[in-house]
Amino acid sequence: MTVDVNAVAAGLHDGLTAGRVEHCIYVPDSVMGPLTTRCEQDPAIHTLVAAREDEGMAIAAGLFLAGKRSVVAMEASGIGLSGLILARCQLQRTPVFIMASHGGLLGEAFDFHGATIAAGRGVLAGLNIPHYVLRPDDDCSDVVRRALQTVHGQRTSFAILVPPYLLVGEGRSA
Amino acid sequence: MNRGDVVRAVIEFRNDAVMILGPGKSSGFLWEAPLHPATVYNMELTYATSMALGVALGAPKQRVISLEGDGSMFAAAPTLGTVARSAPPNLTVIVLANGIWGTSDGSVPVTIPPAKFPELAISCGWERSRVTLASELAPLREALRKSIAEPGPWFIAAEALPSSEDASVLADGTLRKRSQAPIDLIESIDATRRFLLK
Repeated sequence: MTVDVNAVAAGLHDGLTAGRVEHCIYVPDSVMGPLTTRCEQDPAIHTLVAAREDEGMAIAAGLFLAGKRSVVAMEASGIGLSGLILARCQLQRTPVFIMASHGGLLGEAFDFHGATIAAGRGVLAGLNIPHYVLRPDDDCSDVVRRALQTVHGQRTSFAILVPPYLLVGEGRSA
Repeated sequence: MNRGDVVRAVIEFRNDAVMILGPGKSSGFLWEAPLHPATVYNMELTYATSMALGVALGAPKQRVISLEGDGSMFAAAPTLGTVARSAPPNLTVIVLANGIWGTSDGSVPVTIPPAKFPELAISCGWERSRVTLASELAPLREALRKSIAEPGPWFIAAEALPSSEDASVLADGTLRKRSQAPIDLIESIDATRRFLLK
C-alpha cells in the first residue's frame, strides 16, 4: 500500500481546522514537520515554538484555561519528558491535545527511536491517557476532529501517534 | 525585604490579574490572603510561568502574573526564551529570589544567585527596559506599578532575604506544619477558568 504523505499532512491539518484549533505549540520534529509547516502557513492558527515539550504542554493547559483550543506537536520523546505536567493536567482537568511522531506499533524501522517510543508510550500508559496510533487507511481529518471531541468532551488529554512512514514516507527518519 | 513582603506587595498591585504560583510557601502566603477567584496555587515545579504564558496568549485583554521561586524559575529557564519570543504584553513574570531552596532546611543554595536573574532574562531575549531587579520594597512597588500601567511582558526579580520561615525543615529536624489552602487544586482551576470565560 502506497501512502500519500501529502494527503496525510493535509488531512491532519484539516482536522485541526474542523476541530477549531487556534494554537499550535510545537518542538521541531522531522516527522511532524509537514504538519507544523502547514500550521505555520495557516493564518487561522497561531504557532509557537517551545523550548521543551513539557513547557508546550503547560502552555496548552494555560490556553485551555482561557477557553482556547490547541495542539502540541512533537516527537514522542517529548511525551516522555512531560510526565509531571501531564499528570497535573489530568488531575486538574486541563486537557492537552498531543500529536506526536512514532507510534511504536507499525513501521518503526530504526532502533535509535526505541527510547523515544518507550518513554512516550510509557507516560501515556502510566497516566492512562487515551491515545491512537494513526493507520494508513484512516480518514486523518476525522480522526483529529473526533480526538478533539474527546479532549473537550471528556476533559482528558489525548495523543495521536503518527508512525513516520505516514508523514515522511518509507525508510526516512530524522 | 523577605518573602512575605514580596507576596504582600504583589497582592496589593494585583487587582484583577490571574495569578499562577509555583510550588511552596509563596502559595501559602497567597491563600492566607483574601481569596481571589483566579489563582492557581502550587503549580508543579517549573511550570507556573509557561502555564501563565498560555493564559496570557489565550486571554490577551487579561493581565496575568506568574510568581515562582528562584529554584523553580532557574529550572524553567528555557521558558524565559519562549516568553521573550512571544512577548505577550499582558504578562508579568515575578521571581521570588531568596537564594535558597525552601524545600529543605534552608541551607541549600539555588544554583544561580538572585542578582543574576535579570542577566538571564536579557540573555533569553527580554527587553532590558522591562527587566527589573528589586532588592527593596520601594523599587519592587514601582516595578509592579509600571507593570500595570505599561505594556509588558515584565520580568521582576524580587531579591528577598532568606529567613528561618522559608525552611520546610525546622532546626530540630522535624517538618514545619503547613496550612491548607481554602480551596483545593481542582476548585482553584475551575474558578480560574470561570473567571477567564465570564
